[in-house]
Amino acid sequence: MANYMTMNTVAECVCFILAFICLFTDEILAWRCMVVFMLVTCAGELTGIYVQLHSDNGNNHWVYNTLLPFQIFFIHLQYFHLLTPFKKYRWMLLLGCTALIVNFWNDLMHTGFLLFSVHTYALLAVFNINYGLIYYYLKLDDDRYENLIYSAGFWWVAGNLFFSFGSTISNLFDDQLYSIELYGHHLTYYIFRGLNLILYSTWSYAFYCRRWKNLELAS
Amino acid sequence: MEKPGISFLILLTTVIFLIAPAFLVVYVIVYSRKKKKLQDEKAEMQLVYEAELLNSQLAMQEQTMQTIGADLHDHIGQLLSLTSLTLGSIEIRDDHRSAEKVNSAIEITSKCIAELRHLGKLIQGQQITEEGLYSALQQEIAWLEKTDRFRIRLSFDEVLNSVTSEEKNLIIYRLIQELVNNIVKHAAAKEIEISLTYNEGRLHLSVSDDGKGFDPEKPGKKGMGMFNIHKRIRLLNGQVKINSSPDEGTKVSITIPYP
Repeated sequence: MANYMTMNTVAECVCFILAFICLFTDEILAWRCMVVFMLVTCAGELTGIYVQLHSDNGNNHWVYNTLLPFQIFFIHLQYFHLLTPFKKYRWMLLLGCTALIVNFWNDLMHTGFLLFSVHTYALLAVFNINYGLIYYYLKLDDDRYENLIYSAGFWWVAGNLFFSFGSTISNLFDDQLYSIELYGHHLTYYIFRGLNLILYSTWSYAFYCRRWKNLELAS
Repeated sequence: MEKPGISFLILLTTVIFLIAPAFLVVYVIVYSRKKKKLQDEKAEMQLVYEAELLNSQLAMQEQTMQTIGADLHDHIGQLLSLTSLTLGSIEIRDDHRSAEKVNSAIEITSKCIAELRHLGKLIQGQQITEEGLYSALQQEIAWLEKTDRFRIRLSFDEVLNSVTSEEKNLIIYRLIQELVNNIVKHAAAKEIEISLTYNEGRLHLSVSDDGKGFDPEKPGKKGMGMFNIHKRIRLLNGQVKINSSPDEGTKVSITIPYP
């Protein structure tokens, strides 16, 4: 049981519970879908650990390959909603989504399902950074004021940016960072734990902000 | 074996990339707050401006009421009193003299009607500007010259009869009324010169007098009249220049984008 209680799984499960409480009755489909996304993520993470512990070779890459299309779909769906006031930028999401699916299919054809699709994962992070930066730029350029401290969309994007920036640079210098050891673990281990913690903390806050806004609108 | 310098650079780049989103998030929040502050200030300035505009409109209304009151008292009231006196002195037995007095009373009543029409036109600036700015100014001058206190010269660029803006004409007309009113009230002038010229999309208006003038640099209480003038010029996106010195008259030059 202790194997399943890692920092990642705890952060993901807490985030899922908060998503369930805050977004289950949300009127916007993209936000409601975040509950499903978090459920899939938690299930994927636990399955990944289970497979690693119980399979002969400990290869759990296929589990994360299964998660990738879900990540592509739900992240694009959320950005599609967030960019609703800036409709002319939506074509970019359709283009990005198509490019990622084609790339993922290409990876599967070349490296197979049992090896993690690193290219698609890296490309998703780069696209994520671009979407996030464009969203922030549009927010700065927009005349309509929104208190960003309580903006669910803003914090959801912030979490994505933290994770995508960090994972991109970690993947880029993976060999060098992996070679550095601290307290019995590689540096990348700490970086990814930290990034996951930041991602799920900001997302949890974003879900809370969303719920709070919905309650405020209802009262 | 990797050089220690390269490892340090890689670590530094990694750290920069890891904390870059934090700076980005803080920057967006701070910028957004500044934007909100600016918007609030703009809205507040708009409110103050509207309040000032309302004040100046009220002042104009008050001024118009005073003009009507003075005209009713000085012109129409006197004419009606004279009519009353004339009609009161009619003796029915003296047919010849009675007919003369009735004719005289009719004449004074006609004058009175003409005066009322004139006053009505002065109040309804829109009607006047529909007839053209030049015609409106001539009527204003004719009205002022009745007092025999001023000699007024009007110089009007003919191009302004073809290049015209009804909306701006009304504001320009009120502006000239305000400037002339200031001269009448404070300048103790004998001659007033009004000039309107047009050049490359700009109307140049100048109103000068040979009155007692003032020192524009000297700090003092600015009256509602000058306040209204500046307001109107702001409404028209124009510029104003005031040249004056004690005992040497005043010249107000205004440039307005036109039509």
